[in-house]
Amino acid sequence: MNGAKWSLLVLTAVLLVYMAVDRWRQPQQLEKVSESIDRLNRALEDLERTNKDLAEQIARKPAFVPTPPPTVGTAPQTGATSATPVADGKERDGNPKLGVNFLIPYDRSYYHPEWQGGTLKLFYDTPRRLNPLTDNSSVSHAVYEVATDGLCDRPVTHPEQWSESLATQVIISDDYKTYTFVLRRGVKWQRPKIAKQPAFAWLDRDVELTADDFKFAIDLTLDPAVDCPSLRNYYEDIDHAEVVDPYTFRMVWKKKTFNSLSASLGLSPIPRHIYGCAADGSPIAKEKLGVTFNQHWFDELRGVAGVGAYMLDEYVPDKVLRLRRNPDYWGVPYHFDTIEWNLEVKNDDAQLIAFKNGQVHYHGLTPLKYKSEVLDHHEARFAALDQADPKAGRKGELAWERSRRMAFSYLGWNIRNPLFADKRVRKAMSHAFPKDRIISEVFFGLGLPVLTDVAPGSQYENTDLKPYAFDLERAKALLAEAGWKDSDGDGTLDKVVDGNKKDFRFTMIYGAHVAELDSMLLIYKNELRKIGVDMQLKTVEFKEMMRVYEDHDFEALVGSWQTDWDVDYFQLWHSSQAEQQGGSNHCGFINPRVDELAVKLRETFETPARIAIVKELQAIIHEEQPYTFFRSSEGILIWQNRGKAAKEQYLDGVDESLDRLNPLIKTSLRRMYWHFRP
Amino acid sequence: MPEQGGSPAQLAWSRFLARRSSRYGLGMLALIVLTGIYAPFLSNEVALVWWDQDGLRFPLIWDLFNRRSYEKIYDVYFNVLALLLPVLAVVFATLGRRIGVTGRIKIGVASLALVGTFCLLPVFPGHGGRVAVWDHRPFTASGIQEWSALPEAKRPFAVFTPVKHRFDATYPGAILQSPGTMNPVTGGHYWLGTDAGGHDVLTHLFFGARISLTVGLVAAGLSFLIGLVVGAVSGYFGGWVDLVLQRIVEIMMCFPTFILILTVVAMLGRDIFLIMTVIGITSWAGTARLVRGEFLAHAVRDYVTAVEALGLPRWRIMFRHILPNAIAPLLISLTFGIAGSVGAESALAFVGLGDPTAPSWGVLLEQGRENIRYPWLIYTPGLAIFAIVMTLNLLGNNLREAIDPKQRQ
Repeated sequence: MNGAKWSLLVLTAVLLVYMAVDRWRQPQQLEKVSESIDRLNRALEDLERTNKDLAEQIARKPAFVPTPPPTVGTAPQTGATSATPVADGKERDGNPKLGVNFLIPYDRSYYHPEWQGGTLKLFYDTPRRLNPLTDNSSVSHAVYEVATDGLCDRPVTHPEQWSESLATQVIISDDYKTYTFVLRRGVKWQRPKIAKQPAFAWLDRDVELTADDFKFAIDLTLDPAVDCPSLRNYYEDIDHAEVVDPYTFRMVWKKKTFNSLSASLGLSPIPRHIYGCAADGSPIAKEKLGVTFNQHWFDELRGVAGVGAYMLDEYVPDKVLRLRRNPDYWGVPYHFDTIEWNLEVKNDDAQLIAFKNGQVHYHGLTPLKYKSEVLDHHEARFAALDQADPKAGRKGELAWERSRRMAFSYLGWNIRNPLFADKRVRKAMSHAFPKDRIISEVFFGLGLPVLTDVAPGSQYENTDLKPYAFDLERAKALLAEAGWKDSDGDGTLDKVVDGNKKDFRFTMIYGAHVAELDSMLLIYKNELRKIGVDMQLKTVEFKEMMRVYEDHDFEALVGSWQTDWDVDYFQLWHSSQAEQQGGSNHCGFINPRVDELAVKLRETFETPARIAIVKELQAIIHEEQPYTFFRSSEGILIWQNRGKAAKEQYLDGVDESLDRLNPLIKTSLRRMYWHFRP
Repeated sequence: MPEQGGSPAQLAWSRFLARRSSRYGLGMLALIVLTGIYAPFLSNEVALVWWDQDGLRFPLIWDLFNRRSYEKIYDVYFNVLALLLPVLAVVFATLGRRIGVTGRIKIGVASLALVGTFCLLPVFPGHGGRVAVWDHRPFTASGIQEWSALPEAKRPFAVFTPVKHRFDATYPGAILQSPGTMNPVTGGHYWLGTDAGGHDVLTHLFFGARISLTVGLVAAGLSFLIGLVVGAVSGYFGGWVDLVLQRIVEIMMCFPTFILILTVVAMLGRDIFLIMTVIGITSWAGTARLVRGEFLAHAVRDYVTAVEALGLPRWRIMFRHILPNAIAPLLISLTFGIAGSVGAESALAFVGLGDPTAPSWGVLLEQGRENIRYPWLIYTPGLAIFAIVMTLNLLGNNLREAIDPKQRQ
């Protein structure tokens, strides 16, 4: 009996001890669980990021275009003297010309010394690695836009023109095939943070920017070993780059191509004294450069080196990326002392809440969130919509404003499919699409209806085109003309094709997880049903959508393209792009006149001539309707807008005026340009 | 409670019904099933009855066969069922006791199967949308404004459904409207508000019942069938067959089912039938174990030895002799399986892998998560999912207690 009692006691004691230990271990276990969840999350984000990068790649041009931050007008010439032979000022309008320096003089008239100071906080994703060439994630892009400059710049208000930056003059000669740049003197490379460590003491010195650094950038880009195929694409027609003297750099192209203009003028330098050296400072042999560049020690140490206004201060992946003012900057700086990217908050809803709590200064809203926060007034600090006053959103404690982006969406009809081979059918589809109703109801008025792929308001826009108004009767008549009639009275149009009766039925493919697209296509489906067209809907995940684009494997799809300031019709509309697998002319649009004009456009530099060509192209494409053009992308920008009293506490120096943010927002989201047009 | 005579099934049934929660549960289930079946009669734009100078018409009945509106096969099936159910009720009432319980079940199952085949066959009138009433507007509530212009005598007499919204229509300005807002086209009210796609939530709820029930039945039925076959073979044959099959079952059990479903659906696409199938073929392991246990126990009984001595084929011994004796616990697991499948589908939809063209309750719930400022998108489908899952679990639990002899007092 005694034995049983004792054993029971011991058992209880053991149990108690176990419980205590378990209690103590619990937080640790929880930590482990949360750690593994974190790891999973990170893996998922990596995946997402890959997706995003892919999206950028399929956008009209290679994602990483070495375009420097935009600046306007005149300011200090650090050393260099302009030796342009015929520069009397009139030629310097920013439009490319032969034989004269056409660059707009360096100007930063938007700079107000009294606004200087403070920290700008924004959200961003963690980049895979920070490298100027091999990483084409948007965050690397954003970092290098403020951390380094290019040869020339695009002014904020007129991004289709060019102004001075690292080059004080450019002379184009030899029928637009040779570009000769005169570089600014006395521009110094930023001294990276690691130079303070004894092992990298060899970096702790002033290095001046010379033509060698530009040549180095070209050499690396063209090196097949370097992992930047999309960027290389951009430079495929280059013949050679040469260093004439330390301050004169020349690029020679094999043929006259308009692409050479932005590829040459937008070139950013790469520090040869860092990327051309091993970790101990010894130079790397030329033939090994490309291989080492992909896994360079400087990237492993998360370094950034540029000649721009900001330099890397701190970078902890998934936490923070902070840039601070470069004290030795050659030009006029931006207003903020520090730019801080919050890499921690990833979820969209969490980001919005963090924004409302004042953790960041500026963010964006999707149409549905715009409806919820602003139109339905679920956030009282946003000012209500006022139809009469487009700037009414600026009145609230949190400000909002519509902002257009350089992208458009469309419905694409696969012309290879017998259903859409007839242009009358495609026109009927456009007539049946209630564009205005969808923009106002589904997108809550965000976005402008577009007729072509040229951004509304751009100098290239053909304003003479007549829209295909929503008109079901007209659509029905066009379909009847094309032979589609409801012969068996079943409510669906049919036609005898190759001896078989075929119903007018097709599948529309679109990307999953976009609520706005679901609603939009349901409205369209119901309209089509009224004229006897049966549209089936199918959502696909991102990767599958990429395959659909590349294999041209669809009947109809909802797509969107990012556009560029330099319009190009070759990639989207030239017949060669329809035939090859992966070509961007996925609708299979073939038109000899368009082919001819698209090639001609690529060889034309003079702005008026280009405008004429583009307008004719738009007219043809509008008539043929391979796409039913839908809307230019528009979102809502939101930013902290508290009064002066609260300024110190919350805003770290951001004024209530968005104008002060403008130059910087523009650099991080360079395609949002018209927003800032007066 | 003294037990009266009768077959074991009758005894179990009376024990089951003796509980108040069983009766409530059955009532709740009947309500959900009937809501699903009669969804078009509860919420529609098309008139139930339309009487004008041209005579008396029932446009809604014709519209039930409109394949251009009712695109999914389960919708058609439920529509036909809505018409079949009263017919069956009349047949059972008139024939009464003459056919008995077994007869009723046989007739019921046979007619359901017939209806199913009928819907799938090309002779079905709805294929190709030959009878498209809805698009020829005169019989719908959308014409209301037009008739108010007509003189009194010429106005048609029409009876509409209680909720005047069409499940597949897109009404102007209907996105995220709060409860009580009026639909300007039909004059009906959005009693539970609208969702981000511009659909009436109440209508969505009625039609979502169809999807949830289909998912539950198809997925659980599929897993039940697979589990039955695997478990029966494993339990009856024993030996190395059992060894191999049980290892497979263990592999299935070790797999985190939901993650597996998530992966498959993310890879293959978000089609509602695919989702049902995937849920079905990933959740049979439990059933297989249960069946195996029952078969193991029965395989050594004398009656089995007797039929084996008679030389009956093995499949007949397994499914005609052992199965009827082992079916009771399986029915319980089927009930829980249905509840689990409904929950799984909702969970999938909630994480964004639902079929947007088949608006189940889970799809609605996911919208609620994304549009957190609109609480009716969370409460409504949340309560509906809660109701069906709880009802099924309650019924399963009571059924188990009624059938299990150890529970008898």
